[in-house]
Formats: sequence, structure tokens, C-alpha cells
Amino acid sequence: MKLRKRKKNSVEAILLSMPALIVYSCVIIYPILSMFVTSFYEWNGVPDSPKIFVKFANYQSFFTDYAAEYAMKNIGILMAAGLLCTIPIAFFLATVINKTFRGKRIFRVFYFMPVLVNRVAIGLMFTFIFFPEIGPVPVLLEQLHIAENVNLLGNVNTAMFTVAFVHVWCDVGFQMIILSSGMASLPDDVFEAAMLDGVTPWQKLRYITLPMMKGTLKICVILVLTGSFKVFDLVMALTAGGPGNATQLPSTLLYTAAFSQSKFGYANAIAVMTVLFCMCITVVVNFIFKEKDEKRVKRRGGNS
Amino acid sequence: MKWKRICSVALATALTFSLAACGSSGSSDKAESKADDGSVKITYLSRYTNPEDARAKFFMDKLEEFKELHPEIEIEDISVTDAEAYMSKMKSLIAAGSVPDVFACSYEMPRYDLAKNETIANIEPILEASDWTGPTDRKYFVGYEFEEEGLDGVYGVPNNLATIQMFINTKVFEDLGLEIPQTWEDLEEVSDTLIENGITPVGLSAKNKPKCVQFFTMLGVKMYGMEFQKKFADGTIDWKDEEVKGVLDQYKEWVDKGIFGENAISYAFENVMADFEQGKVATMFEMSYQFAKISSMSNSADITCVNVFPFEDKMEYKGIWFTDYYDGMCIGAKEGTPEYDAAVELFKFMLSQETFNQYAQVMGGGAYPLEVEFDDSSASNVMKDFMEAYKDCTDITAMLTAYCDDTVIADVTGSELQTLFVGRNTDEIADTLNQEYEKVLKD
Repeated sequence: MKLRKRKKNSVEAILLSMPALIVYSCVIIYPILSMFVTSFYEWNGVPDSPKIFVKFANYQSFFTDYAAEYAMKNIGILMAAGLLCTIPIAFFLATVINKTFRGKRIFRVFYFMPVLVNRVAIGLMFTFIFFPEIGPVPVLLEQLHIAENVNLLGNVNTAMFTVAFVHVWCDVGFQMIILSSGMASLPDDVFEAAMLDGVTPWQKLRYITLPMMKGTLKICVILVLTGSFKVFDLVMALTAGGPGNATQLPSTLLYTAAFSQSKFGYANAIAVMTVLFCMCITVVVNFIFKEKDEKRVKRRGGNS
Repeated sequence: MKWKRICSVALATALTFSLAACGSSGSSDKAESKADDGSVKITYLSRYTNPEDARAKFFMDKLEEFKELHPEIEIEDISVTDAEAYMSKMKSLIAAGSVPDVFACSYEMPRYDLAKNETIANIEPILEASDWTGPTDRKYFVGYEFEEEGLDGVYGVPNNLATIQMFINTKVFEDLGLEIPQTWEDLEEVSDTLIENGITPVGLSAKNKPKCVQFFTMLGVKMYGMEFQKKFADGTIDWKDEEVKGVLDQYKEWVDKGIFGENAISYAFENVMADFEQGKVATMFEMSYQFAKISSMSNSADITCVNVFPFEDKMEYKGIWFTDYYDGMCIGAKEGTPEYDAAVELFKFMLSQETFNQYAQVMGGGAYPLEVEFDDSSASNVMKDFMEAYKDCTDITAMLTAYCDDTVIADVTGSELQTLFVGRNTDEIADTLNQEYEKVLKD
């Protein structure tokens, strides 16, 4: 009797979850599977065109594509900029906006504003700011006798770093909000106790704030690293991947492969690899933070 | 409790079936698109959406005129102007199997594949019909015929000829007491004086990769004639070849000399145009799309238009013009359907002799894939100069990479030629291009 009731319940459960399952399958599962399957084919995007099964050739192409080499190097620059600039600056700004002072809201809005502005508009704005001879930055550098006729976006050696700078400028506000909410959730009593013990601000940061914000920091690191793979509109507006391939990224390569070169199989292979890279990054970051945690626990155990 | 459960399961089942119905094929919808009253709905994708642009406004008005003439044909206009957005939209529509019934087909589209798979219709019967008044000169149908690939028929009609020419700001030369250049040698002779006075001898928007290839194309054909084009068309191009490398070296020499200005790499066409109007650029290498803007410049009376300069010792190639005849219109509707018949009507209307005549009148002249009749008294001096110069056209060439018929080659060449402007040497560029061409051609 009980078994029959359980069976009946499970049928009902399946039926009730069907709409959600179908929607999820259509919108998420099917496109991902389709992308994965197409990545093993050579296909030009025309529906009736033959799809040629090429095994791993599209993946192999990525590693022999000369533009992909630039793209991977540039992703490294974006990631490094994220880790070394975005997070420290966002952390600093989060500590600022977590203090109580007059005009705090205005500061918060100003810092967060770049997140709300369209990236293409930001790209166009910075194109003007860096424009040789007449842009504010080259003019300022010339006035200060630092450098003459600087063309930051038109130089293969500086273009990617300039793009990374603009990306950091755009992303800092978002990371600041995440870190700020993490800071706001820290218990006040720990800081009060530390104050009574006479700890310095540096010690407070090093031994209380940072360890207690480990979870939030981990999220920020993952978002910053995986977010680098999603940068597209900003680069298109600033340099369109140029000069040459100096600011090419996997996202711009994917776009070019699909919409300019009609190589949908290769484009999907880049997409699959981007997903895999992001998953690997997440696993590695989780592992590093977990390892640090375990070491700390061990150290504490040893001390006691 | 029991009823509540039955109701919830029934509702869920109904929702499931309603969702499943969402996935039904669009083909049945299409088949039923001819309504009981005889009206038919078709989709139309052009590059014209901005009524402030004279060219766009003309074609938008023509579409409205067609709608008034054919109330039984309902047209869904899904036009898009921006080149990137156009490519994305077209590729998405093609991949989804929803090719517009009539659409503007750029040279970047995989036309042969579309034709082979009958995604675009063979319009040869339309061209041969007695009521066809549009372009028929097969010289302009390159890119729409695939006889060499073993495919019969014609799969589109060119509707836009885009030429590239030199616009000269004569006042700049007069003010400095310099002769107006007739050849590249003349320009080289005056370039030092121009540069010393803070003027860029040749305005070239090198931020735009295709523009770098277009200049290479013109340099190549002006140095070695139409034979240079054949190297690309035959697929036998070697970037280390003496002639090809010679063109590359000449290009690089001018870049290094500052002929295009110090920061050409950061200049988009609008930046070059602005500097040209302000007298900071002496001559400008620019497409015919810009005629309207150039004609309305404050200094348009000082501007003259000529073909890209020849070389003194290669005057036999003087008459070669850059004429891109690749942009055209295709029919995506399936033959035998009501949509196809409606699409043919729109196609004939938009590409008729009358439309081209009116178009030439509105634009005050220009280059067209057929003879046009219009009153040229209202044409600007720049356009009149162009029309006069274009009469001497002996041969035409599109971008050289277009003859390779491979989008990867076009992209790679654009990227590599752009690096001429950022200090890369020609040997490295030639090596990279040879490697990449070999990879593509091997595949």
C-alpha cells in the first residue's frame, strides 16, 4: 500500500516538474549540448550545408591558430589586472564606503556608476580620452613632459594594458559592492575586542578582516578571473582586437570565427574551451582557498 | 486534498503540452502565411534604417512606395545598418533557417554555400524575363555566379557599386604654393613640405582593417596591373614573391615616411574626414559612400575627386578603378510559394531601371551597374569630377582578398597589413601571411 502511494507520488512529482524541466532543457541543456556537439564538426552555419565530423580538429586549430596565441596571452594580462588591481582597489574602496561619513552615498554611487554604464559607451569615451594628440591623457602626458605623442591604443606594446586599465575601471565598482557587503556582515564584537587589545589597523586588517572575508574574497577572485573571458563589447569598442591582433581575446576570436568567417564548429570549440577554462579556474581557486584553510586549522591545532 | 492534487497535475500537464507546442516548426506558419484575403507577408532586410542619410531615405521611401502599390503584400522590414550587426543578424537568421525573403547580401556572406543549398534562389529566369529592366551586364555579377564551381544560374543582383578614389583639398596645395599631384611621384615630392607644415599627405583610416587591404589592392594594381589581381584569384599568391613583396615594401616605406600621418592606426574614417575638412589632410583615400558628406563639407568647393594616383612609369594602369560590385540583393523565399512571387515583385521594383535613375538623381550621380539617366545640373562639383574621371575607367578591381573567396584569408590579411602601421617589418608580415594562407588553402 505504502509502495503504491510512493509510486503515485513520484509520478505526480515528475509531472509537476515537467514544465520547469522542459523550459530548462530548451533554454539551457539543449544549447549547451548543441554547442558541444557542433564543436566536433566543420559547419558554415547554413542549415542544409553538410556538417563534417572532424573529431578534435577544431580544438587542435585553437592551439595552432596564431591569433589564439595573442588571445591567451591577453587573457593572462586581464586576469593579472583583475587580481592585482581590481580586487585591491575594490577592497580599499569597500573599506572607505563602509565607514560612516558625510556624502558616503554619493561616493558609493560614483564608484558603482561605471558598472551601470553601457560598455560600448565606455569604450567610445575612452577612445576619445586616449586619442593621440587631442585626447586628455596624451595632452596631459605631453604637458608634464612625460611622453610626447603617446598613442596608447595604437601601439602593440601598450594597447592591451590600456584595455586592461579600462576593464579594471569598469569592474572595480561591482567588486567593491560585493566586498562591501562582505565587510558589513562581519561581527562588530570581534573588532571591539581587538580594539580593547590595542591591535594596530594593519593587524586588524591582516588577522581579522581578511581571514573573516575569505569566502567573499574567493567569490571575487572567481568572478574577476572568469569575467575576463566575458570581456567583449569593451574591446570591440576600443580596438576591435587590433592593432593587428594585439588586443584579441577568446571572445573576439569566437565572434570573428562565427560571424565573420562562418566557422561555427571552430567558434563552438572556442566556446567549449572557454567554459572548460572557467571551470578549471573555479576548481583551482576553490582548492587554493581550501588548502589555506586546512593549513590554518592544522597550524592552530599544532599551537594548542 | 485529492481534487487539489488532480487539479495541479492536470494544470501541469496542460502547461507541458502548451510549452511543447512552442517548439513547432515555423514552416507550417509560413505555408499558412497567405491569408484568406489573398495577402501575403514577406520579410525584407536592407542596410537602410537611418532616414537622415540620403541614400537610406531614398530606399526607405521606395519601400513605402512599393507598399502603396502592392497593398496585398505585407512587408516586415528587418533592416539593419551597422556592418557588424548586419553580419550577426544574417548569420543568426541563416543558422535558424529563417533567411529573409528579400535581403541585401554582402560579399562576406557564404554565397556559394547559400546558392548550393538553395537557401538563395536562382534568379536567372527573372533576369531573362521581358519585364526585367534592372542590371544585366555580367561584368558586375561576379560573386553571384558559380559556373566554375559547377553551379548554374545567377543568385543575386548587384545594387551598389562602391568606388574608392582620392579626394584632394586643392586649397592646401595652393596655400603652400605646391602643384596638385597627378601621380604618386608628385605626391612624394610635396609630402615633405606638407608634413613640415603639420599636414598629412594622404588620409587613410588604418583603424579599419579592410581599408588597409584596399590601399594595398590599389597600390598593387597601379604597380603591376590586373595581373596582380590574378595572383589572388588563382590562389597562387606568395607574399615573398618579388612583386607582392615590392608592393608591401612600398606601402611600408610610405608608412614610415609619415605619408599617412603619425597616428593613422587610431584614425577611423570620421576622424580622417574631420581633419580633411579642417585642412589637416591634403588628400584622402576614401569610399564613394562618403560622397554626400564630402559634398556638404564647408570647403567642398575646394575639393576635387580623381582616381587613385598612377605611377609615372606605369601610366598604362591609370584607368584601373577600385569598384566593389559585391553588395547586392538576393531572394531567400522558396520558389513556388506565395512569398516567392511577392519577393520577386519587390526584387524587380527595387532593382528596376527607374529606381536606379531616381537613385542617381537623389545622389546627384555615382557609379551604377547599369547606364542611368538623370539631370546632373544639381550634382555637386565633387560628384561631377568623379563622373568625369570614372569615364576613363578601363578595368575594375574589388579588394584582392575578395577573389580568394575565403573569409579567413580576408581577416588574416587585414590584421597583418594593419600591423604595417605599428612598426612591424614586411618580412615578418610576409612570413605570417604565407603560413596562414598555406594553412587555409591546405584545409
